[in-house]
Amino acid sequence: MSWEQELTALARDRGSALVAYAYLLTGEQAAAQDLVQDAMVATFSRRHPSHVEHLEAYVRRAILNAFLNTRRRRDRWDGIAWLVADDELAGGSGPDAVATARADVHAALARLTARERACVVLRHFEDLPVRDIADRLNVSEGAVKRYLSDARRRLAPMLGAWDDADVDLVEGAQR
Amino acid sequence: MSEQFEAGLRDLYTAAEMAHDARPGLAIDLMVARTRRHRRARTAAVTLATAAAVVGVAVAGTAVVNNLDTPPAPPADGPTATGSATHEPVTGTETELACGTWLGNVVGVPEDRAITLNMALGTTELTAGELTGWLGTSVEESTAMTRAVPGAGIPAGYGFAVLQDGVVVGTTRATLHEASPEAGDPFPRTHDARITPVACDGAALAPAAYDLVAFLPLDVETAPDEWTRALLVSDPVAFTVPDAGPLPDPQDHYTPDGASSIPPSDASAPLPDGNYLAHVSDIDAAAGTVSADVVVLYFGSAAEEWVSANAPGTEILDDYVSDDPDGQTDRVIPLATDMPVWEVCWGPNEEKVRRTGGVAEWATAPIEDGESLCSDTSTIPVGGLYWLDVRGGVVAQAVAQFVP
Repeated sequence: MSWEQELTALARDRGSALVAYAYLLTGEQAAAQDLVQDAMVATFSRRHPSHVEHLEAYVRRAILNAFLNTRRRRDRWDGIAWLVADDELAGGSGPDAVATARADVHAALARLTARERACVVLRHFEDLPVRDIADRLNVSEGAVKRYLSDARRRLAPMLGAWDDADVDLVEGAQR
Repeated sequence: MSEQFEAGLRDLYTAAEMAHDARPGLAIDLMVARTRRHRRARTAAVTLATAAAVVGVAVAGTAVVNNLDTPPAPPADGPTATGSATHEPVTGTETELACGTWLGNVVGVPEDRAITLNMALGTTELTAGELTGWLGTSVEESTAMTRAVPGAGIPAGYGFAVLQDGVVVGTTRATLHEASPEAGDPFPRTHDARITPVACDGAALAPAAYDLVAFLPLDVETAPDEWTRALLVSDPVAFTVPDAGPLPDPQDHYTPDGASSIPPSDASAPLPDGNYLAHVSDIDAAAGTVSADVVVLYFGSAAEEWVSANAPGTEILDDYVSDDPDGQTDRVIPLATDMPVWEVCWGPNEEKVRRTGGVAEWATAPIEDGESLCSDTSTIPVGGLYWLDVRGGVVAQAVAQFVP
């Protein structure tokens, strides 16, 4: 199969899933689509794309890498951050107002830094262990724990406290 | 809470999938076109290099005497234009002027033969490990009999030598192709030359000032049917091998503007001092060498200039473009025995530089293409892309480079 056929098949069969994945990072549909397209171009422009066994996984990595690029991050979430209410500055709505509806999760993610958001998506959507997240993001395990801890602290006013199962993770970041 | 949050994430994901399905979808044709341009940009330079080699081959069968403006009659055993061409690049390392020879001791063509060999260089500084120039021979009408030396030299019999204080200290790898005279040429031009000067031991020339001479071995008729070998030598032309400066700090390679060092077009030529970016494929600790495909990364305005000149219309992703001038050709590059290997992790919140070992550790590291690992749990860097900082002809430090 030529690279053109591989690209076409991947875009046709897995395009929606890739865009949805990018959406969790960007928070905006058009930006997610741009991110996926950039990642696919980058992936298939590489030297040996046909050697990549799991193209979708590779494109997901490329999406993550492109998202963490400084320029892209600035162009994406920053553009919509003003739409998100700053509950901390407004006194916070508190745990009693916890809601996990789609809009609340969307708004909560917008409060995070790019790396925090990436860690949250990898941990809570892809269900990756900390070590794999560290590998994926090219950071240390300690850094991942710190990002997750910081993210949860930011999310708590909007989404409430985390389960006990996650306490060890937070404590790990404090060691 | 985490279960509810994860449910919310999945809900968000599903909604995004549905939203995408309701839209026109990914622009597949545009992605294919963009990718094609990127891939084409990578191969453009290779195509150009191949074209130059083919032109060089076209003159390979031309006898030396055909370079002479007024060619004397070739002897029966002299070279003749056969027109036969191979598909291999025509290069050579003529050493008619052997290393250590003092130019004053060379037997030259007698002045009364009124044959001159002329050479000019486009620049007087080694650029990308190469010099470009042109040369030609001039013969007066009264020229006495000379003939080419069978089998001598790279196309048309020419050779080159590198001198310091009149002594041969280096040779060259060179490719010539036929040229047309241009307005303003101070002498008849017959060939354009791409010349890679190297030291006598085959290593890269050390930064310094040198002279380059072209030469053409000829047989000169000194009496009826008596021929004497002599060397027609051009006037020396000065050139310099620039100093690449001190080793940069590991984290200082990726700059907003500029380019990595450009390797010589001849993949078998040694790398002059510089900071190269390369896809590493193998490390041989015993031999002290690394096998790597050297590429060139252009950043910022340098990327824009490169695209404008070489691949108009190519989109610049992530502020850089890469070019693989020799087309995925591995070079074997010597390593300094005490060479450190560094890893730099990039990111606004996470930037660190750490030494991960030396040649021995590097040789046992797994090499993967496209990703680099930079966690505290790893002891050696992973990733095929490295800065190879060459000083004194050897890699003095390697720095893993992550490129998004």
